[in-house]
Amino acid sequence: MMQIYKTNFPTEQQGKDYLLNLGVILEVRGKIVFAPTTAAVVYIGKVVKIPATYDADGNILTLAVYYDGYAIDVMSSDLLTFGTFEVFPADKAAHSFYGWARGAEVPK
Amino acid sequence: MSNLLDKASIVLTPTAYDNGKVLCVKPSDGSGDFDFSRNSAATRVNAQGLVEDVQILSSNLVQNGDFSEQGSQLITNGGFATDSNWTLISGVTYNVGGYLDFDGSQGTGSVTNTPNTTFTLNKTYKVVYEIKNYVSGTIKFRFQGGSNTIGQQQSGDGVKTEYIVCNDSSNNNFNFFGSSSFIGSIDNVSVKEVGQNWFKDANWSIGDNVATSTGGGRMFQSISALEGNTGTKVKVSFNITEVTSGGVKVDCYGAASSVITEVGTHTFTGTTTNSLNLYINNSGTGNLVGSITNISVIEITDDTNLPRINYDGFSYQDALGSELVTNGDFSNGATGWELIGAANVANGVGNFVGSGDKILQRPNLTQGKLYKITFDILNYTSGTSRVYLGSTGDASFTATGNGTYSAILEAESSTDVVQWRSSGTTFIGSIDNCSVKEYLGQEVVPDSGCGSWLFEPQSTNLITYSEDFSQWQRVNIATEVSTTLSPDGISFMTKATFSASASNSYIRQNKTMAVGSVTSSIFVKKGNLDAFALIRIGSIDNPVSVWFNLDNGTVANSTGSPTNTSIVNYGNGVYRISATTTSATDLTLTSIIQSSDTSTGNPTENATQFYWGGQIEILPYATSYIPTDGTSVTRNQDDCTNGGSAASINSTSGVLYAEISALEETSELNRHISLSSGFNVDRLYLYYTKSGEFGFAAYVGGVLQANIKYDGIIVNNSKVACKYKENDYALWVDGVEVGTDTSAGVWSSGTLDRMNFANPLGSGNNFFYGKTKCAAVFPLLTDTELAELTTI
Repeated sequence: MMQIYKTNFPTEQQGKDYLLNLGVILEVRGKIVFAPTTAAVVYIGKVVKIPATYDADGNILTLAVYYDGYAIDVMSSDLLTFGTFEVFPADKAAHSFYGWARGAEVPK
Repeated sequence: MSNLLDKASIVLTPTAYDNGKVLCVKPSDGSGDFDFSRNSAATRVNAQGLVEDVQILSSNLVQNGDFSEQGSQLITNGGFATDSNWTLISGVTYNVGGYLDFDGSQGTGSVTNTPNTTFTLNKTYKVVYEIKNYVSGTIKFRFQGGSNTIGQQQSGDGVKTEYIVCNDSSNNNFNFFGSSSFIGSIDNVSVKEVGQNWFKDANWSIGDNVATSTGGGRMFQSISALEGNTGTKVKVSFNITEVTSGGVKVDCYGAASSVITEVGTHTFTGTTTNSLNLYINNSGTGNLVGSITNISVIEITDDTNLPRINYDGFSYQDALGSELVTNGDFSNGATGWELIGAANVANGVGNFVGSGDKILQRPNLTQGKLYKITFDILNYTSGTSRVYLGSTGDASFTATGNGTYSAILEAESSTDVVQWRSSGTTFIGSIDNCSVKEYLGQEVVPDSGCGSWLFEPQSTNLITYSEDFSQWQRVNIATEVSTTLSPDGISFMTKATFSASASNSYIRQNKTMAVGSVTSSIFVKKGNLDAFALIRIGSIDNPVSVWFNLDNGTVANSTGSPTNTSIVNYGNGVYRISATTTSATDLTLTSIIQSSDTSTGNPTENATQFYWGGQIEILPYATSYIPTDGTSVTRNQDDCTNGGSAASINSTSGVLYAEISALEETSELNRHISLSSGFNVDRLYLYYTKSGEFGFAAYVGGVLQANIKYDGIIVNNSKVACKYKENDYALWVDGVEVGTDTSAGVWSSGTLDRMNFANPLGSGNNFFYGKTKCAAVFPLLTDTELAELTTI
């Protein structure tokens, strides 16, 4: 049974370290690989809160505004605990897995 | 080859799969089948050449969901080729040119044609006729009988098109009437039913490929595949093209949307709960004043571990419209033809006997469209025949001598004529089998492609609305959903019209990310003018621009240093184009799709192009299309492992065979197809590497026994055989033994017990990404057999 987790860490490095400590990803001969129970890890990065705006010629008028933090989605057959780093954007999620509902993260 | 396959203990070809299983041809008892996982949906190209979500189990179940279907012609002799079928009145006469003349003295009486069927109450009909030689007055038609259904007053030269709803089941005649002041001619009268398959309340009407509602009331149809099959999961899509007030609620056998009030394409999934109908605004819910079209219902599954058999290498054929020439084989004498000079029709052919002869017809042509003209020359005596599509001076081609000739010409003017005549010296001979059909491009010949298992890496489409271009940043471009089918054969491409010839005319996505390689791809079809599509990736340290020629399917030009480009033909004029660049730094990536008729990037003003399926992914090449609708979307990696068994893999000698192509020439990580014990210490594996090599290697008890490399590329289809026997290892590629090792050990019997498209562990970073037409394990083969096995 696959579970989808949506997480948000202060920084990209903190997120990757957390996933390594949790065993979601492994370091094998200097390369980061998925653990056998991990189906996918998606490094989403910064999530847009307010999109940039442009004039008629395509010139940027206002820069995009981003949510704080660095977002990572995980699909795993393991029951994982991300503590306060787990988020539940549900139908407002910025990312989804193909064939799964937009708000498919746990808990349902 | 067939005898060799009889020898194999494992044969995997792209033939069968289950959710979570890739099924072998041999052994046939299931003991050799592979485990497969992806845990996501994915798309493939199916045998018909269509981009298909593997979770989709059916084609579109809705009949006439785009309201484009037309019934049979209800008017006999609407082109007035003969002086028959119409009941005329004083003041109205047949013209020898093949139309009706009204001289203004006809009064208010009726010129009547009895249709081939009685008009049906509440059905919508498309009525088309042409006014020629217009002088004055107005004319109108009606469906006569009971309470008449009356069309609009029309005047002026031109083709008049009206959609009209029959308002009385007693309507049983078609006539022009009540037009006492009209002076002019009528030609090409056509009446056809539209909106087949739909039942609708009176406030709904159908025309111009949409269904239009004026308020309450419903429209519905029955879908036999969903009758009595409650619990079926369906994906429902529809396009609201106009909303003045209210909205649309679609209820598909209980799987229902909310009331949607926004113009655009809308999709929802649900599970059927009843055996009723597909309803649009059942019980008047929605109370729409507006229009809807492109309604589709597709049966889908929740299964996420469906392997993909992907097809490519298709053959193509001309896609043609219906025949526009009447009596092109002259089997009905000169009917439908105009004969000029001494030209005549006899013995089933059209004859040219002297100077000035012409044989012509007046099909309904559209300026700017392409037409394929085909004809035979027989009884050739002398001179050259020339065919004009239009008037003299318009597009034409010549033919000399007996034979069959064809050409694709553009209708350069609005003149609706195709004429055969002499070119220079007088043509003396005969013509036959004359044909004019609209040329719609090249289409895939179904089942002409070759299938292969497709295994791809994880990839995320960063574009959040891959098919809804109204969500993209657009400058000097207007977009609208077109009636041009997209490569999935279900949805429709977006038509982009460039409003200025300026270089800053584009449609764009902005992404901020840290990347190595980034690939931008999109499906594109040429529109009315410009032959080039342009992908521009900018605002980075390695900006690139790549122009693609949509006339001949080639990469036309590029600037910067793109690391990869491709253009792939999907038929019907649609190409998937892609460009790749790299960046060493965090960047703001801008991907631009722009029409151009030169390498400058300036589109022609009012030029059009068609787009569908945009994708930006952080990979050095484009992978299979990943649809998105509001978020970025990830397709997970394909994982195919645990095929075979100790009983079907001989550990002491044998051959690992694969007919494969990798997705890239060099891989950042080694990619393996392996036979093993499940541990790295005992394994034999075919690999390709970061340095562009491929080969095979063997470890016994953790000790390297052989590593035979081949300095070649494997992105093209290759047949590779890895022979292993104590002190007799060899690598064969495409019929040639490319390397040997005569000092290498093997495993004890029963050691090798599985085949993986990955390393022995079936995890980590060595998954094979590529296309596999065949994989097999053989007992030891002779060199002659290996040569035969691997010869392309």
